[in-house]
Amino acid sequence: MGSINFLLNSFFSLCSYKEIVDTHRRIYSQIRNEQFFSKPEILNRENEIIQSFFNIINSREIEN
Amino acid sequence: MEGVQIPYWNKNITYNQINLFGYIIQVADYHSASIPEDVLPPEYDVNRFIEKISNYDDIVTVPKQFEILMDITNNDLLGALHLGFVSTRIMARGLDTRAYPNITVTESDMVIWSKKIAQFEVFNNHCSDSPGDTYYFWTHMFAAVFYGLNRSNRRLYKTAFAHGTEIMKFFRKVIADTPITADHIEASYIGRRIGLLIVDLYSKNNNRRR
Repeated sequence: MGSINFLLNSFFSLCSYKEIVDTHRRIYSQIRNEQFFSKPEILNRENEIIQSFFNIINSREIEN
Repeated sequence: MEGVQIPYWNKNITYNQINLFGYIIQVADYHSASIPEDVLPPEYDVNRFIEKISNYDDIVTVPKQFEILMDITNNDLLGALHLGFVSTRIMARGLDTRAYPNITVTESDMVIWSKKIAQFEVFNNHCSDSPGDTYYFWTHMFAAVFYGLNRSNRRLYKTAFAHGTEIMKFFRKVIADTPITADHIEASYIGRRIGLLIVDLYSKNNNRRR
């Protein structure tokens, strides 16, 4: 019952987003604009990421 | 690994699929329901991850983040993805304060974090922020692995996350009247793709053993 209550609260709060005051929204919008214009170097590229992740997984004794 | 149900930080509790779904789709600050124990990795580990990234000499790519997460969780793969999702969401949005009241993220912290976290490639020339992309990446990867390895309701959750971006766009635009300005589609796609590849890998390994 607690799980359902938690899920419903999460879900319905998505639907009432306009009533929420997100104090940080201005900042992450600003970061987004700055990065769009400053064009930082792209270091997370799909193929390289996939290869790296599996290298890491294969190099370790996975616990779980 | 298939069917794993136990969070790395407490072997006496089990993961609940509904709890995790509720926590993934919305930060806890936007409602007042009590937060289940199984969705929150320890504050100590969240702080360790944030500190390690903040003190790293260079810009931190997601594979490097993964190495740090695996170190912190003692190579617990699912735990590493869970910790990555929670920690990067806190730093990207400065929210989830109800879940971690002792972790304070200022606007300045968010700007500094954005300069430490590597940028993702974007397929179209649109605005995106590296902290937001990073937390979407970990969220989708964690969800793909967790729900992919749990047999019950797998198809339901898989469909929900496969169309998660479109569903969220719809809710924010049509129902909440607050359209989103970035959908982080590329980072979500890559995170989900790696998650599904991991599920495939573990499923094949398990089939070979049988």
